[in-house]
Amino acid sequence: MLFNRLNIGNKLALIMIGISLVVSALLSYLFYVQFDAALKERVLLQLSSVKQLKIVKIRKELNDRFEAFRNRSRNPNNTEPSQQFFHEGIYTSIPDSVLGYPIATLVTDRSDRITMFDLTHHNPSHEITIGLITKVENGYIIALAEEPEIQGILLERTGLGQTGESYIVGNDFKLRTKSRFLRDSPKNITVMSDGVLRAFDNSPGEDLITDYRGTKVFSSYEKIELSGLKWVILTEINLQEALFPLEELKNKLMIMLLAIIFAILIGSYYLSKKMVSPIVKMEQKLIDMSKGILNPIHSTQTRHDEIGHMFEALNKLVNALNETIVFAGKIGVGNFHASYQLLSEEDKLGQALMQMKEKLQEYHKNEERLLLENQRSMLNGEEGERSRLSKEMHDGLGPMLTTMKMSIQSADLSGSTKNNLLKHIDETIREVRRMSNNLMPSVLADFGAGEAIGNLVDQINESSTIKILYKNDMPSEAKIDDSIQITLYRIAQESLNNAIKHSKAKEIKLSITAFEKHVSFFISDNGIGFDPESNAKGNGLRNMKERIKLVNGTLEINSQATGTTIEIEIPIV
Amino acid sequence: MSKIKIIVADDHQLFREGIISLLSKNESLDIIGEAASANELFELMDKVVPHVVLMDISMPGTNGLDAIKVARDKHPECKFIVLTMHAEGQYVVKAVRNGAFGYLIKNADENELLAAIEAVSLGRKYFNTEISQLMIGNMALEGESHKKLSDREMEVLELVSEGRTTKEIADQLFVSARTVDTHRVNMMKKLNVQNTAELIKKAAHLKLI
Repeated sequence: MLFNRLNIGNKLALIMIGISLVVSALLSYLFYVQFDAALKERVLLQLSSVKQLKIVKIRKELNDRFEAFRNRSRNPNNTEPSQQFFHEGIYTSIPDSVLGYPIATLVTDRSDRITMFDLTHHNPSHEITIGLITKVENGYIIALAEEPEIQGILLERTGLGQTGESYIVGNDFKLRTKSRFLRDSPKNITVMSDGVLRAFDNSPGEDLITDYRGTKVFSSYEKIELSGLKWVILTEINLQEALFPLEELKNKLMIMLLAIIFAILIGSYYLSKKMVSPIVKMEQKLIDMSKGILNPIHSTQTRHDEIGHMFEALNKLVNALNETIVFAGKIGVGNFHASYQLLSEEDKLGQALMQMKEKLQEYHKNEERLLLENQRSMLNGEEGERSRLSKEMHDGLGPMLTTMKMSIQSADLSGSTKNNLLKHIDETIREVRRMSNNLMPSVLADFGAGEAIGNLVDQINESSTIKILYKNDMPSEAKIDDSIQITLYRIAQESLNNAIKHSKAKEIKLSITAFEKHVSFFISDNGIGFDPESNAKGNGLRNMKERIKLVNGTLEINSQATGTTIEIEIPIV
Repeated sequence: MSKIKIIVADDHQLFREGIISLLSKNESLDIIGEAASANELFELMDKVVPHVVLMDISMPGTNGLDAIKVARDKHPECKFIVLTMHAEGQYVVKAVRNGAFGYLIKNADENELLAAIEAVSLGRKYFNTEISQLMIGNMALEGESHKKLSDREMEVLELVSEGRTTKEIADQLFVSARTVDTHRVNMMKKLNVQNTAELIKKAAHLKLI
């Protein structure tokens, strides 16, 4: 759907515009209808009251004539003519016509009541003309009167606007008064409108009808019946004029509606933009997160709405992820002491990381163990090889040389040659013994490190100016593993070598002490010291450390400008 | 005078042959057998007991020094001369302790070998100057052992009773401070006391100091 393709801002704007459009259109319509009804009511009311006024006035006029005629009929012999009538006379019988006005055809009631009848159409000047007749002793009194006042009353347009009109229609449905709009003679204009018909049908009222011109008008209509005279008076105004304010209102409403729409358009644009901007911000944040950029959102203001909560939740997520990342990083660099609090029981990532940590830890341990085993077996192999070679030289090569010596002694050779050879062989035997001893002294295997180190110290003391004090507190009977014995001997070689080469010490104190569960190796010199952290002196110290590690020992070095002490403890089971 | 009966025990055949040819020139010596290992020697000795055995140390199976001890228990009248490549005092001391009457390095010359055999066969011990030096250098460490405390512990105890600090004691004995403390704790355990004061008191009571 197209709507779904819009972004949230446009959706919001569209919804806001739609709703406000419907509401304002509905309100405008209701207002319009209300106004329309009120306006019509008012117009009709006004028409009715104007009509009523005219009726009253017309009745007065007619009554004046009637009263004058009645007075005349009571005094039939008073010959002074009344000013009310343009003709009056006593006729013994009803004449056919008087002054050209037909009488007999129009008068039906021949009683002694006063009867009025309409002669307007017979007046060439089209003035409203009525005749009055009554029976007297000696015949009939007949009077004729023109009623220009009635036309005047009808032409009074007070309260009727531009198109207002009042007119009278006779029972022949012809106009009695002049039309404001048509120049035709009133007697030629037929008015058969609904108003006229209803009025004659004795149901006066007000309504929207089509008048004699075919124009829509508001009309108020009522019958005037007076002594045989039957007229209908109508007061009308054109629909167009009456409803002009409504048109105006409609236009104004339209303009207002447009203005509102425009205002809403702009308002909703900004409002939706403002509402959507944090969402856009969050979207950007999420995109960033998907790229691995994890920075918390710094909101300029604290919000307490859903978006605020959403930001909080997002920040929580970022923090949690950051913690996870820190944890993963720690694991990555091999820090297996890193701890991690699971975010919840559903924290799959955290659980996976924890598992990974455990696995890695296990691998790491295995690897370390393997490495240690490898180193151990390599070292053991090396030492075994040295031992084997040393034995070969000592117990194989040595006896052969001595055998050779014996052969030479018993050989038939001149004295000087024999002595020379014997001297060479003795030297060779000594050299073989020295080499064998250097590879691995047989004393080490047969009497332990305590004795072997003692011999080493004696050798050094013989050949060097440095003074080595040695205390051997490791009985040769002590059951200590060969690998530990070798380690102790090699450490002694290494540390003595280092001290002699680098420390510039005058005196070295060395002791080896066996306890029930461990052997303590201690060496101290009064030399210049060194930096145990730097490996500048080659791999002597490193070799020592590795050897100690392989037998699970501990090493403590304390070096100062006044001397160095090294203390090593190796557990013996 | 009867001939001196000799057995040569060495795992090197070439060496045995050399020695035997060297000795057999001498009228007063009778090489009654040769052995390539301690077990062969024991078997031979079960048949005939020699006056002197020339004994190598490094042999497959039981080594020469241990073999001397075993054989001497059985045949105390038989004398052993160690003839070896090992020129370290520890071997000499052990040889003597195990009952050897003589100790020679294999490159000793013919005259010395004969002198040693003769001396030993007469019931004298034979150690030349070099061997004696080696023996003395290593014997120095051997001493009468205390019943309750080791030598080092006794040293520490003495220094403690003199009021020395741990550091001073460690310095004097070339050991670490921790080792001195371990010694002290071990002594307290052995003498069943709780602190240093009690230790000195108890040691005095036992006449250890």
